[in-house]
Amino acid sequence: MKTIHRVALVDEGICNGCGLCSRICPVLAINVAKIGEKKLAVVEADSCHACTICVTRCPQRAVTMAERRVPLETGIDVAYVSKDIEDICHAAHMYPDQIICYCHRVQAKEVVKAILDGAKTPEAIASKTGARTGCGVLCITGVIRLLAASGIELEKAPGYQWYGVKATIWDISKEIMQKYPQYYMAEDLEAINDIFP
Amino acid sequence: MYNIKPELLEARAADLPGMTGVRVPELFPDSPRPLAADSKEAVRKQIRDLTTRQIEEIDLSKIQAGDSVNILASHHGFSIYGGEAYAEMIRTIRDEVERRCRTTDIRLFAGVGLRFRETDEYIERFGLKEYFGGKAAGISPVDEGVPIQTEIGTLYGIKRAYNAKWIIHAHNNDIRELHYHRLIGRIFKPFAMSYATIETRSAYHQSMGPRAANFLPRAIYESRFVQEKFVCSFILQIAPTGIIGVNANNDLAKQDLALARLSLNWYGKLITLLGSIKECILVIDYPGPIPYTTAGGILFGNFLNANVDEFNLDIPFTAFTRYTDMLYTGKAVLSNKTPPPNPAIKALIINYCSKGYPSTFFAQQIPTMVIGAQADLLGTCEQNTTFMNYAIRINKLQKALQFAMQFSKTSHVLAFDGAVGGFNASQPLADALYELAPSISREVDETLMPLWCKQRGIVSLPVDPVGSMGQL
Repeated sequence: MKTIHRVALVDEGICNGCGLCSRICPVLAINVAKIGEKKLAVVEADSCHACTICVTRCPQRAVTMAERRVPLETGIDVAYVSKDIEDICHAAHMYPDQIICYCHRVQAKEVVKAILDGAKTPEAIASKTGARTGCGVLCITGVIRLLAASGIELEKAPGYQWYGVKATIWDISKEIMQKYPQYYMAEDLEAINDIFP
Repeated sequence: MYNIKPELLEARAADLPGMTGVRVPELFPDSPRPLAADSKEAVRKQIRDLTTRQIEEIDLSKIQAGDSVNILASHHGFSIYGGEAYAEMIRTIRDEVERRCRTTDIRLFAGVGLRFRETDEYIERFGLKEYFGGKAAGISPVDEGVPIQTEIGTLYGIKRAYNAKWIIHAHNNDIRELHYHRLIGRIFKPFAMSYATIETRSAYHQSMGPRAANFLPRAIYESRFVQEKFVCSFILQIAPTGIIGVNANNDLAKQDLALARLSLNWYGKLITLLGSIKECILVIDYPGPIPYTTAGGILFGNFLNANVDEFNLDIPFTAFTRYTDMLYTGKAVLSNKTPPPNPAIKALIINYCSKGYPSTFFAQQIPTMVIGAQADLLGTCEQNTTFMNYAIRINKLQKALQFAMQFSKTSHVLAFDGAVGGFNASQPLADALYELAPSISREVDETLMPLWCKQRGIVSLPVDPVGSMGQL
């Protein structure tokens, strides 16, 4: 479980409504709306996970973080690992207990539970579990692999959040492995298969 | 925006009673001689001269008058020994391309790690926006992507990195993330990191395997898309002793192998020596993210793995990579198939570091104390939301060290404080290092170097430390 103490805050005097923040937010908590005569970024406070990605990418430096009056609780508590969860993790070459999101220590079983509860996109999973709301980078393929193992085909992200890359060691052809032996791909496939299910 | 104010530091590791300096050239007299400079201006002059000399050997004939050129850079270069050398190499590339190719449409796009404002801050610090006539910007992995067809399918680069007719790769060969790159295609890595979107970077850390992941940047580099734009590569050459020179090449694969040989020579002995330390307390005291704090040019992340030979490619898993991080949830999901974090580290004291970069793994595995205001910073770090659940806060550095010495029963202390050309260590550890160094040197020369080189298809040759400056 994750407790969120802060929330993104847009300075309306600086924001020019370019919308970059809405295209990179991993939980779709920012939209651009016309307010009066001006286009502005608007934060939906109940959705914001305080990852600060918008703060660090806003070209105008119009977004800062503010303390929440009441912290927001989020995350999924997996009381027991069902066979469905185990099977999906296995199909994705993962253990239910393994970490997917290094920042919030979100585990594979939590991501799968979110999927079984109806999350069908990386953004919905991020909102339910907190995965991808730290660095915003490292865990996206883990999430995509678990969605694929659940039989969910991704179409198109609302912005630049993801593109659906499926490069995994299990997809590399023998020809490529033989062509570039210095990268130890065949050996890593064996090592990975030995350590992951 | 990533550190506590320096005035909040009540003490520094190097100033603690009993600490002393250990110089790399005194450990290993065959270490390469670094550039020597009395001032920032002198550094800039030397780097400009070296870069200009190197560019004279490079074929720039692809670039025609008026063509657009993107110089692609990475954040880390700006953090090496103050960053002035890397910034000057980039300025010189710009000036020489303009002079030789008669084009002024030269832009700088510099990538980041996991802190997306970092490079913007470096660009401002080194005045690069003005130098490039406003055409300099930080790029991040959450920016808009561009599809790149590779031999292993579609991967995504950052669109702005590739929005010019030509690209020039401006990087460094600091050993840095040896635990990730394992010195396989080390200088290709930004093609799947600084210049790539999140999924390509995530695939590297989660879906390819600890050695095979290094094929991703190679696959992007070899793509038709990149080959049609690539002109050349400039590498700031780094050794544990300091900045050695600049090297340029039109062929990145050839340059990579040549630089790998030098890195094995330059870093092999030092990292093996650190791996021979049997017990110590580490004090982190440097304004960088925890895994990227350095001692004698070696990352904390590497020291965490120093109980295994990270250069030996027959070893698939070292203790800390994102592959092994996945398997620790506080306790190990698997306990017998990956090596433990370096058991020599008896305690970790964090006096000063930046926030950012997921590091909870460290506190979960090593008894960790965080000093004063630094604990508040880590307690609010977006990328380490549970770090302080596993660490304790202590207000005084010296109290923390006394406590660590008491429970660990060791007087060996090593500071990861960004010291250049050597270490700050306690006297007993310094004595142990000096005693061990000659036998480590022999072991590396006679046994390990031939193995490491053979695994990489490199001819093992002794490197002349004086003649190596910019010459491969």
